[in-house]
Amino acid sequence: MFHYIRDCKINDRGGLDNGGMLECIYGIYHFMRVAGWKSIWECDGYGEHLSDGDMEEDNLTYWNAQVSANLAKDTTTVHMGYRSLEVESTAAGSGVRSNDFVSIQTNQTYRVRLWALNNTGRVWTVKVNRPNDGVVTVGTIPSDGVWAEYEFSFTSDSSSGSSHWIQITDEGWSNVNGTIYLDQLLVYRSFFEYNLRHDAISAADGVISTPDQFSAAGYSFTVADQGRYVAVWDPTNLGNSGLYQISTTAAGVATLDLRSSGASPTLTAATGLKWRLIDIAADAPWQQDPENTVTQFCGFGLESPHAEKWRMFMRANWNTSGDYTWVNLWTSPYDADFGANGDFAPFEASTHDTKSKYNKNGGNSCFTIKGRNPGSADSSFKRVFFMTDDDGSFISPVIRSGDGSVANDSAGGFAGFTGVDSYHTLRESFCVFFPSTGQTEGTDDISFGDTGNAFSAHGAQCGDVGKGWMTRSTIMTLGYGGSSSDELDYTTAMWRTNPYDSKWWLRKPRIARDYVGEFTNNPTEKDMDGVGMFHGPEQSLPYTTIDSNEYLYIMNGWYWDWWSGHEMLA
Amino acid sequence: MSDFHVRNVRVYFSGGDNYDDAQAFMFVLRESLIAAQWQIIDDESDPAYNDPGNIFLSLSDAQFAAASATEIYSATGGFDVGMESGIISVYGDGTAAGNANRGLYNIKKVIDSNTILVDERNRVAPWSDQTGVTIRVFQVDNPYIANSRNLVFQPPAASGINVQYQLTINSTGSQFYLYAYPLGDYATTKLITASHVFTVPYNISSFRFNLCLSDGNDPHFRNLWYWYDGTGWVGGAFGKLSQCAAADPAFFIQRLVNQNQSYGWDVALEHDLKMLNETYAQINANIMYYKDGVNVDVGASRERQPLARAINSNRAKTFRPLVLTEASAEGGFMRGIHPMEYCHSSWPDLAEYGTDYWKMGYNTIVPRNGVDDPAPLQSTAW
Repeated sequence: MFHYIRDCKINDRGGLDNGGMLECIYGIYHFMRVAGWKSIWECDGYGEHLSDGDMEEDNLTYWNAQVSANLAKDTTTVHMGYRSLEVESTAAGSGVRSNDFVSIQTNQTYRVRLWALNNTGRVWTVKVNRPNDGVVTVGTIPSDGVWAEYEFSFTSDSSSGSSHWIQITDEGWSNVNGTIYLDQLLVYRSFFEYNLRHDAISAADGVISTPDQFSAAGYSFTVADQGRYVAVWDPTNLGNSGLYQISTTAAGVATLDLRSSGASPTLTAATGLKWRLIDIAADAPWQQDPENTVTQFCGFGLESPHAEKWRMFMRANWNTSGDYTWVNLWTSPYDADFGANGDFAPFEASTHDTKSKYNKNGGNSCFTIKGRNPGSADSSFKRVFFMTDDDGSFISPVIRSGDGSVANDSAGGFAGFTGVDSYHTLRESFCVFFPSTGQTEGTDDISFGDTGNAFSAHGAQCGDVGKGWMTRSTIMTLGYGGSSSDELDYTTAMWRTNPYDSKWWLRKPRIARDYVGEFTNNPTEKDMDGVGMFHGPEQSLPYTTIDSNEYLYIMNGWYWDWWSGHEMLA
Repeated sequence: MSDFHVRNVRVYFSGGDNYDDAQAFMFVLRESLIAAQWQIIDDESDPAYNDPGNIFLSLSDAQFAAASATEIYSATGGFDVGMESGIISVYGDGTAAGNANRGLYNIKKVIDSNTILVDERNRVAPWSDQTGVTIRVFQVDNPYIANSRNLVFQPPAASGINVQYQLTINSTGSQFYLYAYPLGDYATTKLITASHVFTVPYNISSFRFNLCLSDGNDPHFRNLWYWYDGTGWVGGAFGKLSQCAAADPAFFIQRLVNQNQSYGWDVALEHDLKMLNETYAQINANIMYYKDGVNVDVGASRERQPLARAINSNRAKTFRPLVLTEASAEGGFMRGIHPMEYCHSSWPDLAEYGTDYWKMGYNTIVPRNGVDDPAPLQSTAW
């Protein structure tokens, strides 16, 4: 079953030209979390606050032994990448202390994520130093003998940003040395995972009542929640999952804006749903902290609930001229290792093309979703669409400018598995199609051209060598004609429905890998199968449904599987 | 039941007016249709079809033996050396056993009056033991069938497919035309498609004839002939699109060769189909090819790198293309799926494409009757 964010209206922050993209990905993030995606990484606009947090430096430059501890970089016992930090305690209170954090803002809450393998038989203590207030304990690392992720938080003090640091020590040492391994130590301000109004992923107490009511045993909606958004996941009922704005509240129950022009749009009654409450207007990264530097490059990493645990990162890339925001997106087809900056390790298959000659996406290091200059006619809001399936085998985000007349200001793409066939393993079916970073503002990201910024032309698909190195790929289109003078495209040559059944005819997009023959054994073709993506005729109006709402026409010949219960607003 | 194949049958014809291959083609096609249990609806009773100068011998007791791979025996007999270089048509009867050895074969040698050897390059599968088989030995040029003749034919009655196809030779024999009656109304209203014209070569005396006829049981109803005439390939196809609406009489005819004697498998532009539309008016339709993006011409895309890989024997994935009606007020809608296979590949033309297909020119894949079906010959020599 497919799940959607369908036409969720999200206001841009008026007057500050961020293009609304941070608001949009903030909403998408929380929808993916209720959909079962695991948070694996986050950063604020400064990126890494802790040098060598991923322990990949082949030295101890950024680490300081406490008391008489022995420190070393280890390449055998590693959680991610090539190295971990090995800390051997030799006395009570011995351990390791980091160098000073960098670019710490005053009086802000910071998060620490840390992977540790503690088999010492003793609990180790995690402390943070604040310049004005001294060292405080923020948590502990128990001895459980396995790599485990720990999360802590601290609040920076009012002094300058320097002299904040972290210390991990063996306070309980008693004559027996012990060794702990540390890896992937991240310090960041959270603009996503810890930045919300109510989290009921664990409680799973969401209740949908027909036609458009939402409530929860553990939360009573009030008038203050009007205008906020509910991200909800219903694994059973088609059309229930989504990101909905709350229209009104009464007696603890929220009425959701279904954004449908249908005569009687309705949700299906359901209980036990995972959900989150977010306030995009108040909390989305840009809104939360208008200090551009902190938020303009923030981002997150998520791991799919799919069995392959494929990974995806999104990070904003605010245009310095101040009129729009890109969102860079990069992926791996499995749970590939990555560094503290979110980049995948060079020995992993991913869309980071600097890592291997096979890792291609058309010449850019990241894929891009790009917002539109809000200073132009479409400035007031965005309309967010998102499609995935039960187990997160794929995602397809689409962000549309608010003004329907500016149809070409849309951004979107696809990432995920596209179906096994006799020519392709599951790994090889993994594809990513997003426009490149070289895009021009206001152009058609969602199009099937062979040049420029067409998302179809900037693809990558896993190859059949190594771990499945990502290889240049494109979505082919259909047409006839033997030369440019008489060439006709499927998208325009089909201008009416089949007269026998009054239906359009859509085709699963066909993917060509390594179509210029760069890599031995790699050229193949396959259909985009099982992902509800279709290629078809251009309709006169974008973002409309066809064939009795069976399909959603996005633009330029791209369609999604849709369902009869939802008609689009104009 | 299965498809009926003719492979590499050398059709020889002599003298005449140098435009004899249209007549020769119609004759050998008619014999093939009969052998395949297709129905001859109208042949205008041209006397050439039954003239003793063309029909050397008709027997109903031919014997085939799996152990004698190219030998045919008849107790009645009547073979003589004058039949060498003639063609023998082996009729099926519509049953699996009765269809086992059907086909057309060149007689390679007459052993005696009861025994002949045929050319193994015509045999699309190993023979089975079979007795009581109807055969006919024939040639096509003594006399020729007349110019301007029509031949109307229909799939086997057992198939239940109600469509007629028509071949018409022009008044000089320099061209012939192929039509379809998609509504199966040849006997009444005669709603006919536009024709595809096939301009025949001048001054040739033989060609290598290949044919595949569907028995109607395959979900993809496709039929095609192609011959090599010493200068290139000539081909035509007819069949029905699949995945059409139930009410759609989606029968088509197709030309696989350029109209103007530019021999060789045709370019994509000419892969147009003649059909009737929903008002039963004549309409063209076109095979859609994959290409690199919108506003990219198909020819350039197809001629790009092969999308084939070594671990798949260098064969690209095949596909049955969509068919779109022409860019006109009457067209502009997707009609269905073409029954023949196509591919994107630089795989050599005329080479095998797996056990079931031969790769022809311009990425067309033509049916093959399994691993024992020999390759189409690009030669008219013995």
